[in-house]
Amino acid sequence: MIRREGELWVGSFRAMAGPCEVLIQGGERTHAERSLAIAAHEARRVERKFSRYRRGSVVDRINRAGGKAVEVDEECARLLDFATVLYEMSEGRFDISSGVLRAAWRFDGSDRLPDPADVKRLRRRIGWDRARWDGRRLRLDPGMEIDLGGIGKEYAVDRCAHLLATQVEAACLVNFGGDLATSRSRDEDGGWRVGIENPEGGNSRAKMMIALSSGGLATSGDARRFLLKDGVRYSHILDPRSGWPVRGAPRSVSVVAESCVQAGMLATLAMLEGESAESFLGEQQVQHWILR
Amino acid sequence: MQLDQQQRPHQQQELDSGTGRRGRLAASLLAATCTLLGSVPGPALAAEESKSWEFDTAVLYYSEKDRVSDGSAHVLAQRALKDGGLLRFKATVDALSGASPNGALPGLDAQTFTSPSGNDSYTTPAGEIPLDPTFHDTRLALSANWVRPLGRMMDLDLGASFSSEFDYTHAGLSAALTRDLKGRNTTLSAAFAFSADSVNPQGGVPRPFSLMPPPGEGEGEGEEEEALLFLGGKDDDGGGGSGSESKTVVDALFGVTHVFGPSSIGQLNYSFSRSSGYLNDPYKILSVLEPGSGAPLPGPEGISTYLYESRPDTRTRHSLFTAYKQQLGRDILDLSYRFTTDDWGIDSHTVDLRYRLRMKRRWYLQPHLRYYTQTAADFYRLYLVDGIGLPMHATADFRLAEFDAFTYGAKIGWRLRPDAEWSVRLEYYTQSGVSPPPAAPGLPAGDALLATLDALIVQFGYRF
Repeated sequence: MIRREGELWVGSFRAMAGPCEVLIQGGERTHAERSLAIAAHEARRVERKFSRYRRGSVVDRINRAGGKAVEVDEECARLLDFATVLYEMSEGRFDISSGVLRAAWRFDGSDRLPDPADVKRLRRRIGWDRARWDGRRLRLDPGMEIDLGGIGKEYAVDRCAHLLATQVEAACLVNFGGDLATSRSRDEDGGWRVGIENPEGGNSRAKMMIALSSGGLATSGDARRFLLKDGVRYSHILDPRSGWPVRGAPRSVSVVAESCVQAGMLATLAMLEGESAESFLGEQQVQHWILR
Repeated sequence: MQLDQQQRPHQQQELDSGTGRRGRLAASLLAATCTLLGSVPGPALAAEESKSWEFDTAVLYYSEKDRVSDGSAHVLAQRALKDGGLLRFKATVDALSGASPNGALPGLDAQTFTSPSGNDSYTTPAGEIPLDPTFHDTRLALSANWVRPLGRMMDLDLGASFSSEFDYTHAGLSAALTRDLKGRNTTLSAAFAFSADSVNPQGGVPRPFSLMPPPGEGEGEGEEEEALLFLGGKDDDGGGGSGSESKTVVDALFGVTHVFGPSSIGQLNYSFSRSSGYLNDPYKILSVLEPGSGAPLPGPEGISTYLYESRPDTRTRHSLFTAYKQQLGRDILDLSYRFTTDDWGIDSHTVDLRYRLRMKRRWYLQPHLRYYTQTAADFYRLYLVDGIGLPMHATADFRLAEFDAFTYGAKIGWRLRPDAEWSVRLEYYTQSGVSPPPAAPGLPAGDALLATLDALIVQFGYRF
């Protein structure tokens, strides 16, 4: 679907379980439609290829391999390499094999904490350091699974922005549910004015406006997903090393960086820092907003 | 990264100084990100939080033909808060001057009028609508609002307002709650406001139906008693006007806003307002005529008899407002209708139509058309008649008469940057009164000119 808003074309579609939007500056409708098609096609390609829910996706094949090695293509290899860097960088806190904890934790706002014994059992199935990844083939122990969901959306946003930068003349802004990137800066004045929904923030007036001239922006966290028991708020950010939520994690972290992936990973790493998220991002010297 | 060295020396310094794992992290991550994204070069980081304050400023000139003119300056400043809230401050200064009808009838002879204190007087030539030229006032109005989110779906807006002019002060408090329903397509709102105002004209507030004093007399209590006798009497405890009077207003509003689709939005509000206290205009009077002849009743010291107006001391108003906004291509249509009814007998209808036309190169043109019509207050009359008893209430204020009004105009705007805009608005307001019939045979009929008014409105605005 595409509509005109002032001098912008706004195209929207659904992918990755959420609304996706592409803003295209100026030009004719047919050009804008082409830009939208490029982005939608790429978003769906990334989703099809890397979704763990999608039968036959590369992640699905890896998770069902039952202890056998799976050979992956170059793009998937780059993502796994990237995940490895993040795992090392975060000293094990960012772990694409931690998704199995979902079986124990349901962040529905209730007070139902899981049985510690269940969490302990699941922890035995986690640990990227135990995966055998040689740059082409990946072998997981039986019972282990990976999930690229923590990187996939930001990656898709940057991929779309990159394709639009190389194939389309008009400046575009790609926005997949608040994770966004620009294909190039607008040819005039202050850049893309972007309203980010503040997770705590009531109606549209509560949006925070920023001007993004280039690069990406991502938000990590969801104020709606938590557990509350005996006055303690358990965030949905789990530390794979303990299997329990990170203590003192902010409700949400937004970061502006060179790309959406860069921003998203810094935001996620900040969440994993828990109480010291502020000092962590302070040291990174990136523009950020933390909501407690 | 080369990029870092060029564009972010501050970060590079930190990297060089090697402050441990975390200090190096962003740079190593950037390298990994570049590898992941293949040929995508890391573009320059150049996002900024939009300026913390936004301003909307305007100067407005309102000029009624041969009557009142008003120059005003408005500044609105607002700032989004980190918690999703909003702070908003508004200031208005205006200077009013000119003349406004005082309520008396045009006469066959020149007429002399005085201010409530009796110290200022003015004379209207024969045959002209008596205008009170002593309108000179400067008003300062300030308001502050604090919007804060309550959870994800609700906002609370708390406000305070204050205004002060020579003879009037206002202080008010307000609270509004808005709540988004699931999907955020529908917003419910409830708002309450309370205000306490006081009127203190120089020389005191004239008591309703008291006699306008002759020039140089101050408040004449003796003449007042005399006037009451003339008119056949209304029981009253006598006594002059007091120094100041007060008024309180309670408002409540309930509304719903609904988004029909990506390009249309509708709104429906019901509001209720109750004023109580001193609701008169201390400068408005009525002529008193002799029964039969219809000639002005002679008063003290050779001037005619004029009584100050008397309005009820409560007013309850209900209002229904509906608006619809639709985007049509690059243009925006904005249509609204308001109906009000009150226990003074005034019913009004307002239809307002604006169409914003997007032009080439950041220009827009917005024609505006507004129609307003109201019925007269039950106690509106052109004059009082001696000897037939004083009514409970009476006013000759043309603003409470029956009239229709049209506003024609247009606004032209030029967008300098996405967040800065110039605009000029030019509007013409024309009001025409409906002549009321004579109060009795032989008495004058209404002169529709009394409520006839033309005004020009010019506004320059700059938002940034």
